[in-house]
Amino acid sequence: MDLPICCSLKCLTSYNSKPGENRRHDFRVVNRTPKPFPYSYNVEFNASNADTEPAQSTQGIADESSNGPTLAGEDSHAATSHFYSLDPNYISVGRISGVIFFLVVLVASAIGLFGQFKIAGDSGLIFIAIASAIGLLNIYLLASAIVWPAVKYRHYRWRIDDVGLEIHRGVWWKTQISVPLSRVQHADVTQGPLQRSYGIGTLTIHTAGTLDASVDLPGLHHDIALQLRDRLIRQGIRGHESS
Amino acid sequence: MNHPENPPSDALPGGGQPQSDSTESPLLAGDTPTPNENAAPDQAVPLKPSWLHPTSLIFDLISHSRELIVPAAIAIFGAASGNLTGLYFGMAIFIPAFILSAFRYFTLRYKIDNGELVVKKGLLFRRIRTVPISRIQNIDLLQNPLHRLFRVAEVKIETASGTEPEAVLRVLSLKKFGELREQIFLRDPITNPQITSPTSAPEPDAQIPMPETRASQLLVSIPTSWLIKAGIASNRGLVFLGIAMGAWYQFKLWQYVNLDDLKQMLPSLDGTLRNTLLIAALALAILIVLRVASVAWFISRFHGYQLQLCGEDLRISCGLFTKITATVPRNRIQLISIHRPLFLRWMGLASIRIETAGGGGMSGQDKSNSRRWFVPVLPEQGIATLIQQLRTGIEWQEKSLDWKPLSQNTGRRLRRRAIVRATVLAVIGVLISQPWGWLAGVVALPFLVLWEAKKSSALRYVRTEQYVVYRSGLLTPKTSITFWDKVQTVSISQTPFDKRWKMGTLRIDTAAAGPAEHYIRVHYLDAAFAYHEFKAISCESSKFEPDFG
Repeated sequence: MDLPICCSLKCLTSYNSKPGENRRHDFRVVNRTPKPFPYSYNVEFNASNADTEPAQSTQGIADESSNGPTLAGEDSHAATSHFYSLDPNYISVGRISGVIFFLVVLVASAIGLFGQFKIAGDSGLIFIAIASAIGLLNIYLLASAIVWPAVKYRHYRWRIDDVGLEIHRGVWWKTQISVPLSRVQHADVTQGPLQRSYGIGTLTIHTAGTLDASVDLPGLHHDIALQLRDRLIRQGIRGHESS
Repeated sequence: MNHPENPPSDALPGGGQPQSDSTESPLLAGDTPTPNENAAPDQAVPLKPSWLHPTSLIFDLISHSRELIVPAAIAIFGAASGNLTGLYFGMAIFIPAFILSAFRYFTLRYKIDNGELVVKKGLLFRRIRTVPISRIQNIDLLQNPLHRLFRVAEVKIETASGTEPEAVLRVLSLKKFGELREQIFLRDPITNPQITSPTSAPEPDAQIPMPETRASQLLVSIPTSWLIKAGIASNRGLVFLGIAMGAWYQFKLWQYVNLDDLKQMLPSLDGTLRNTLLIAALALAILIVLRVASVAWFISRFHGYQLQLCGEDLRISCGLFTKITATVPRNRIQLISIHRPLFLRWMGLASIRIETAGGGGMSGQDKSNSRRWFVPVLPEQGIATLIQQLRTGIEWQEKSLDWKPLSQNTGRRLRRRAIVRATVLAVIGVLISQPWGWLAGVVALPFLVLWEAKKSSALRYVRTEQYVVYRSGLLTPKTSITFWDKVQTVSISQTPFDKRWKMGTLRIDTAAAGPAEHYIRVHYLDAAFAYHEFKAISCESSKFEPDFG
């Protein structure tokens, strides 16, 4: 069976490189306000190909008031352009694991400083310098544990369409990766204890590639992750059978 | 040859195989092969359960000899110094090793049954490996002089998965190898309609049996003159320099070299000039020796290189002492990479590497032979025709490719980077030597700027209807081609620096990338263009199904 052909499969063949157009230069989706899962991001593609993909940025699913998280666009190919954010619990899990790491470092550095103090005594300036450096490191760790997951969350988004799964991530170092559906070899959903208590899971997609042999999508609602996995595998197998 | 290659096959209905010597049978009690009843009648006659060639005992021991070198050395040194403990110690290692080899030999059997290659191993821990024949990608053959003496060969069978060969048959007689290859290549009657019946077994004394049922087309045949040129251009000889240095220090060879004798040869010159001349002569001699070693390496490795296209399979055979044949199905080629190292380029030559799914590891001679050294040397004018043969229906005109421009900011960005680097150099220089250290940075600046400019002008990228081409490298320009159905994932990335210069990096991942040493990672593209290409490539490649067979 062939994959359904729809507007998104009209590949972009020409590129208008005229300068002076209002093009975005940082691959960024415009609306940066994080919204909980079933809402979509309003995506602006770069201006040069807006004419080839007219339907993409206007589709919304606000009217689909489904109870509980479901994978929108499962059957309707119109929903190709919805970018989803991760589950907001991703922030909580990130913070908790960050704080745990911070506590471990704090205890370790406290023991270290105490040992140093016991052995070498209060040897003045050097001790103060070391202590303040370690203190700064700890403050940095705590601050980043609290702040960073939320920032990361805001920059994480994914979507699935007829082409495949597309993941955008990264705050300073941005990456967008696209895994065509037919390239999915298999997919796993994993869940650690902390993630389980928050009901989120990590989807891992395995391809036959080398450097991207496995692509992770963390912080999905567990049900969404399972649905997504099933859809990826189903589409992938369909593809393999048709060949 | 009367080797007992076929095990007792009483259970086979009408097994007309001669009963082998019964010395091996105790180990194989209860290991009788199952009769092959499920085979479809129209299928080719499956290969009966077979043992490896008896000389496997020797070759297995040799292949494990690396682990035995230390005990062997202890035994030899012990015996030489009259200390028998070492000898006993060595024996205590050797005898179990031999028994293990024998055990491995007597417990390994392979057969082709139901369209599957089945390799059974072990007695207590039975391991049965089943490889569907349709999944077999490559059958590689390795033959060193010792193998040739016994008319046997090491056979490696690879599938798409993993980096290790799926099965290693060490060693098979050439006759058996021919039968095996026949069986495996008969798998595809649709794509190879010219095969109607299996050929008769090749002559036992044939060097390497090549079933001639399919029309084979000679694509490349490398004469020795090209190999000499390639050897001169390559730095392979550095390995020998390393060995020589090691030997020099290990065995204190300078004791045997008397520099004064050399100096006597130039008696009429004064000291400084004489020393300079000596050093120059020595350097020249080393250079010549290195080049000769390179040439020797190339000739021993690739003597009589032939690349043939048989049906849909590419076959390589080469080697002076150790003969190697490798088979690469054409549709398994993931990436084709043309390398043009500086010296080779001057002689109008190039080399071609390929990447195939399966066996992406860099280790192993046979592996690097079929991928890294796919075509070790080829004249520039032969490239286009060869590449068009490597994939059905592609057109390859490298000259007429419409390379896409990099970002307009590339030159400025790289110039600024050169300036930053020169500044760092100047600062370091000042730190090292106070008054004039900054000169280092000033001197280096033009070279750095030139280098960056050349590097960015060597960077090329283009996407056509059939493939994506990426070219990079200043001293060794590498041109890599990959195809829509071979693209696994596409990604773009942007560092903070990229963002500042409105650039992005496009990255394409293929299966088993590595042997070509050229990852498709196009830097300095205009960000919007990179995004456009990202969408286009992922969309285009999602229309194709990956083909692993």
